[in-house]
Amino acid sequence: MNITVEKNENKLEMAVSGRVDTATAPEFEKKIMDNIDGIAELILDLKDLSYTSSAGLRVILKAQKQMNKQGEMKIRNVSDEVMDIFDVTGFSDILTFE
Amino acid sequence: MAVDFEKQALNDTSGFVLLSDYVPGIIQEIRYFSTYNFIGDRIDGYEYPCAIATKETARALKAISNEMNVKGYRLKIFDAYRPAVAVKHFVLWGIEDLDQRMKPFFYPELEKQSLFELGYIAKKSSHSRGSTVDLTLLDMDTGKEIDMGSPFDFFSEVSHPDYKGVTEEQFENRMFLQSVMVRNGFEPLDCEWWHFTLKDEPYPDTYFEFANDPHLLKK
Repeated sequence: MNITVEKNENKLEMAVSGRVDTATAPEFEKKIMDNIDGIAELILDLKDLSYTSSAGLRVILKAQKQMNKQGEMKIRNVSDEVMDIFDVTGFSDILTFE
Repeated sequence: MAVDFEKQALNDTSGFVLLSDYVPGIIQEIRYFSTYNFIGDRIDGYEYPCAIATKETARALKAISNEMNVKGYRLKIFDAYRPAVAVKHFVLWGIEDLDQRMKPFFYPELEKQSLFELGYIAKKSSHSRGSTVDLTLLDMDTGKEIDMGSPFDFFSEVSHPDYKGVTEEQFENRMFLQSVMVRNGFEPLDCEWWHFTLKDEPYPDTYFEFANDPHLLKK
């Protein structure tokens, strides 16, 4: 898994590539939590994300809950495979897609 | 009371039959009713160990069965109609990356996390449209399945029907099954030697939800 971070005033954009699973989800969570303070708009670009496990979904949910309080979170460029996961788990009803 | 017509349609069994009623000679080993499958649990929606399919699929399989019986073979069915809830079960299992109980038997060469991107798991399956069947041939002389070079549901390149690394006999066996299926209106799948879908399937856009339960079928 690889994460790139771009911060611009109160906008945070994170591109996640590879796979988020039990092993890599803690790093994903830390990256978000280390950068999320004061952010009004969080964008997760998942163009190169091929898989997320339930551990990854928990991180995404945690981020969504935090951004619900301080602004908004958007998901961009979801692959068909990851969209299937979002659909079956009901996450596509919770998340905002750009 | 408002009627949910879409829901009704997805639970309409009128076009479906019990395969063994049409093709009494089939052998059935419905893996998703048992726990001997790539997940290791009985799959949601499989209430009975029986194969259900559209009438059109059953008629085509009847013709194939008759032809193969004469040659000394029986059709052995692993799966046919698959309820949409079963497909969801596969996805939910897929995101539990630590549950790899059945990896040694079904996907020893693959990382579980790659099963989505390789197309083995998806939100929808052609099986839920009712005209797809997973099967092999049983040799009546030996009482055993013919050797296809890999077992049913073995997620690997070796299961691609045209994989060149199997023996000549195994490749011929795959083509023997494929040719009779194709001649009778089925299309193969490029990554699973056991998987065939009726070319002119009656419900090409409907992913049914009713359980795999013969009591739900209309008499």
